[in-house]
Amino acid sequence: MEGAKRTAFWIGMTFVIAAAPFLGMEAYTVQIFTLAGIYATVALGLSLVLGNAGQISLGQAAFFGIGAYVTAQLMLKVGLSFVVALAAGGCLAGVVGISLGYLALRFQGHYLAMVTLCFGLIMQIFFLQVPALTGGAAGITDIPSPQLFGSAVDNSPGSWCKTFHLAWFLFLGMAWFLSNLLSLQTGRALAALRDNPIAAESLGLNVSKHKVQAFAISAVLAGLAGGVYCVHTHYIGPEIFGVGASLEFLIMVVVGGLGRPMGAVAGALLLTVIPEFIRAYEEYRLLIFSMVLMAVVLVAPEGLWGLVTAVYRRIKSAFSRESETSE
Amino acid sequence: MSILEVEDLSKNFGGILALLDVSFEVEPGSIFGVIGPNGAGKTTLFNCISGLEPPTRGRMRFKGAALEGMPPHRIVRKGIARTFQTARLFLHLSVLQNVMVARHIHSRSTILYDLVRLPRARREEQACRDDALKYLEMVGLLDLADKSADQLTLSQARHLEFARALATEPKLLLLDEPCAGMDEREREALLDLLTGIQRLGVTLMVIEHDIEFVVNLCTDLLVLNFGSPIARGRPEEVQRDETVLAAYLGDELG
Amino acid sequence: MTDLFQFLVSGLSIGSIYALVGLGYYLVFISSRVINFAHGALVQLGGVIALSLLVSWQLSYASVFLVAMFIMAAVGILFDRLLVGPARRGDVLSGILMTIGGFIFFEQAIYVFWTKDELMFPSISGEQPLDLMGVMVVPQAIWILGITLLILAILWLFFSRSLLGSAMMAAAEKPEAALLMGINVRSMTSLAWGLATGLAAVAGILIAPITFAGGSLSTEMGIKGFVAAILGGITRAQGVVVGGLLLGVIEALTTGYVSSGWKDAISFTLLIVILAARPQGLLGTTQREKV
Repeated sequence: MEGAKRTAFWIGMTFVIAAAPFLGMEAYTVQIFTLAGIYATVALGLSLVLGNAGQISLGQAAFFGIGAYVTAQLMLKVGLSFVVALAAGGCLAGVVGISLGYLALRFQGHYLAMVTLCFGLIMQIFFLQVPALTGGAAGITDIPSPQLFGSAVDNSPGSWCKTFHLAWFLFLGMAWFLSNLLSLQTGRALAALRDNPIAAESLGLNVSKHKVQAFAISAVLAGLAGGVYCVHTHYIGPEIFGVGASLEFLIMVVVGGLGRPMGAVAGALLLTVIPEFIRAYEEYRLLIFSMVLMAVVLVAPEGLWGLVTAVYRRIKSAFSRESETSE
Repeated sequence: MSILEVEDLSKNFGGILALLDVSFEVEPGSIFGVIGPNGAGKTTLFNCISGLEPPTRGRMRFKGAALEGMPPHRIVRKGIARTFQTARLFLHLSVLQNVMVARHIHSRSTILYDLVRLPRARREEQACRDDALKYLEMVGLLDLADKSADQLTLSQARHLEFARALATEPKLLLLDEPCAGMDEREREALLDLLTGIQRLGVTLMVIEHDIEFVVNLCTDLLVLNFGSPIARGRPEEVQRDETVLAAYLGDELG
Repeated sequence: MTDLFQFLVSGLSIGSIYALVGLGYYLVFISSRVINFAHGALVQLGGVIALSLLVSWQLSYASVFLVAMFIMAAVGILFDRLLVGPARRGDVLSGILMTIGGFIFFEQAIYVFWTKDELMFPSISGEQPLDLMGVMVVPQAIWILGITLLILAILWLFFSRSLLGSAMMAAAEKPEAALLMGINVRSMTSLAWGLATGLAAVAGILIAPITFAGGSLSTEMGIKGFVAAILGGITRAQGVVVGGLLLGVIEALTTGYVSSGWKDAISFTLLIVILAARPQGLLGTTQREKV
């Protein structure tokens, strides 16, 4: 996408998000889509690490948790405003992400997967075993809605500024940042690193720097999403930020399509919204998702968004061929 | 003053000696050939200089500054670039993007400018693209700029590697078997290209098996055998050297 | 002192379970260069299947072992043939994602087809602790140690004395050479998967009376077994056994003298530290590419 088309896309998305909750969405639907927006932001970060940097991370829910706990506690215990608390949560998640990024430099493939999995498990134990900071097993309840522009931000019917907007504008902003990065040096460098790390470093790319940056960015995104999550649900506890959640984020990005922002959205919507339509089968949800994951790995490694773009391209080229022959 | 000084360089792979006490100096502006039978340690020598493999012992100085212990990406910034025996392209990138990656070290934009596409980020991206095109033109691949790198022929792939290495603006360029897989005509064209690069003020180090090519191209030669230097000098001197003849004949017979 | 012995006995018995799980990782890794992330869930699946055989089908304890082992071996072989095998011919990531998918699948299968609860599992011979010179030991611990020893002895004989065992090792270590010698590498890989998941079933049955049967221990079991495998070096079977026992004892001592809440954190940290200290040494898969 070039210039004007690009700008039009982002402005268009802004309007769609601003208007969406007022277009006859039921209150409950708004809640679900808010959650999808939050997850999409986490998936966006994971997609960068896994799809673009080629580094597997099975502990993404830990960063999500760090953001949530820091935001909640700074609002409740210190009385900071939501925006400041959120920024602090994102920063702390980023700092932990940088540390994990440096640790991750020592590992590849299976080992990296195991190490990040353990990181996630250790953080979950931490959330559970340090009640002074995290409320322990009981978690933290009664997290207030944030106040922005003099009114409470929540999804109540009367509010014009909703958590929905918070979640999706956060996502949109982050997606804009990432698509900028991916269309410039960072995107090229990461693709080069994945293709041939030895050639990349022999041309002056700092492999470690790029890998750590990717980890840090993904952690910040998960942390910010966690901050929004805690004011959306008003409750957080250690069971929310466990390995199960990390694996669900993984399913989102792989099923949606690795390495592309739209894949992250597709995956998050799919895993959050579709189960709402088949609530009678709630207990089969993860069983089905695991089968979808395995099927995608086998037959559509580019993910569903990859399939969509492939089909679109084929249709487009078929049409252009037709118009050529008719001329 | 020489541009590269190597002193008593040794490299050990778990008990196997790849290099033993190799010392030499490369004069600025020269074309320095490294020859020797297979397994003589030529590529290992390049790997040590470019930082991919740490030497077990010895010193390397580039324009007076020590190289050992420096990671590859910093050595490139110092002004040493290299190509590989088998081309190592970024196969999922276009030909142009392959060269653009090599221009990153000259970009004044950082991740923070890129994040919001500030004017500087856009300006630097444009400059990166323009410069990359210039290097593609130099090696004659301008027409293929938008092609995917995995569609190139062997010879084109090598030329793309030259363009990429040149795009880092090296003072010293290490070429590992540049004409492997090229036919006679392509070799002659390459000879012209490389002397052209030399005239731009780039010092060249070349590993090559084709003796005729080396003798025509190089101003200095170093001969390695089983990791040790056995001869050093101007091509016509080295050609007459008896130890060299023995090593090569031995190799042919073996 | 009796405290210490108490901890040692329980540590060794839990440790031998870890060793059995770790051997599963080992067998799969040497034969197909994959770390099977689904392994922990397969251990727990073995446990619940055994419980059904025992309670609903009223089979004897001994036949439960055999039947559960065969069922799980079949599950493992099918998992490799149908899913992991095709995926690992792609890149490393596909293999990892496939076994993670398998992990979620088997864990959820337990939840959906059995229960989300933690199920009581009868011990082999009652709960009455035995008094061994002042040290109180539950009979299950003795059974665990005995059965593990028996299995290790059988495995050792199989690999060192039988033709099939040596063929399997040959296929794992030098597949090309093995093919030349007329060994069917593909069936040897299946044999390794079958053995691995069969052992998983045994581990699942043995540990269930001490913990419980059910899916919620899958992750823990999976990681502990993996820690055992890498503690001793995943490419050597003896090392894996030692690693398992070591981990069991470390855990028992931590639980006894420090706190049980942080017990798992310690083995997870141990894993990261070991891997960080010897990133290539233990597995040897990340050797630097030749340039």
